[in-house]
Amino acid sequence: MISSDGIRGYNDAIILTVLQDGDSYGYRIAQRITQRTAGAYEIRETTLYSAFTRLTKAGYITAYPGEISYGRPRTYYHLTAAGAAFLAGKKTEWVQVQRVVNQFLAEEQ
Amino acid sequence: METLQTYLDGLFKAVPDTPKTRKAKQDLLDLMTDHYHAELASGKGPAEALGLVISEFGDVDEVMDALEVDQPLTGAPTADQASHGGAIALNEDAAEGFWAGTDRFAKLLSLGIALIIAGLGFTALLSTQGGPLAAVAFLVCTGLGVGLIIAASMGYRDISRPVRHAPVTAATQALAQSQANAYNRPHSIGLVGGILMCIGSLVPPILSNYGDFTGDEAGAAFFLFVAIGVYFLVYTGIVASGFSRLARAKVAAASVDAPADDWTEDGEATAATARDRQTATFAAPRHGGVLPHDLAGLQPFYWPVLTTAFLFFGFIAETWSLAIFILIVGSLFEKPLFGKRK
Repeated sequence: MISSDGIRGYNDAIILTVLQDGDSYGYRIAQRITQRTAGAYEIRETTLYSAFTRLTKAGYITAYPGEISYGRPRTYYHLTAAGAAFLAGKKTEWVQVQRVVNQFLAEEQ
Repeated sequence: METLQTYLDGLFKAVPDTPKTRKAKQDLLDLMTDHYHAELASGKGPAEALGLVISEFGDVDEVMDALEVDQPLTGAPTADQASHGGAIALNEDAAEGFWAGTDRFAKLLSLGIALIIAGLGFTALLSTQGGPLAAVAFLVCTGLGVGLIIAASMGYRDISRPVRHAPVTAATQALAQSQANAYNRPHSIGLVGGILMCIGSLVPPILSNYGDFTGDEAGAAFFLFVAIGVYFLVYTGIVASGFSRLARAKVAAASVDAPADDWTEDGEATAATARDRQTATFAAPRHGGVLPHDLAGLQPFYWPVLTTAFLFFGFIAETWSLAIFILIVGSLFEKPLFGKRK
């Protein structure tokens, strides 16, 4: 299992990637992350909510009320154009980061 | 989902109560509720599901950082924090703690004073029997009373110091105001009851002149009446002042007091433009009397009346012990009746 610390810096991009497939809500996004990594990374609720707060403030996502669940409207998140552009930048950056870190940490070169 | 709500309440206990933090708490509860039901759906029992949700919740400080809640309150703020621009405002939980402490202080102090006064009554009553009983009653009551007063004062110092110059959140002030209003009636009952007991204390000594009681019984009844009256006056006065103190405290517009995101008509959340307000500005403090205004009008007559009573009982009735006692009790009543002298 990967810790939050190990993946810090890419949580926002991971969430934006999930939202690229369509609008979703908090716990569903967490589930998607777990499923996509086959359980290797389970994002914590506090990490997820902090990311929502940051991304909303930055204008990368917007929130809106969806269907009623357990007596309350679910908060759905939607990827904005600014969010998509930010995500594209992060993907490019990740390729570079990966290349640099691999120079030091990858076992096979 | 009471357990999850309680768990979150505990985590947010030290966090200033603002629309933004309330919304965060609700959103986190929604997340945890979804998680909990997902665990139940996967075949977990309720207790196991709850345990999993709580253990996988994460660190609430992370949320506070994202919300830019500068510094969560850990208990009541210190006077030092409050003096630095008032960034830390007293939230409702801290206020409840202060009032609980004030109530404890009021009980101990009023009981201590009442015990000392009642001790004089017991001494008077037992003095007729001879022997050491009267002296023992006096020493025990006075010792206990003084002990209670010292304990009350020491405990209250720690409770009141952080509140002395601290600003309060708007919600805290509203709560304090409603508490103060709600306490108006008990306070008035305490005042009237206390004053009636003190007036009633004169009845046994008067009746003793007609031979209904012995002088010692009358003296004992007088002190007991006064003790009960003083208890009511002091207790209700202190509790009321605890509420009014926060009701007229400065209101801090702290950094976390920005309005929370709200839903717009097209269903999208808009970031509140005021979110980044970091300045701690204060509304003008509201000044209000601790006690009903009708009593304030009586204050100029208070000491002249007491002095007249002292001179009357001393020189005319030649009951000097009663005369001196009127002065002592009178000085004790002054603060509960008219509040602190400015």
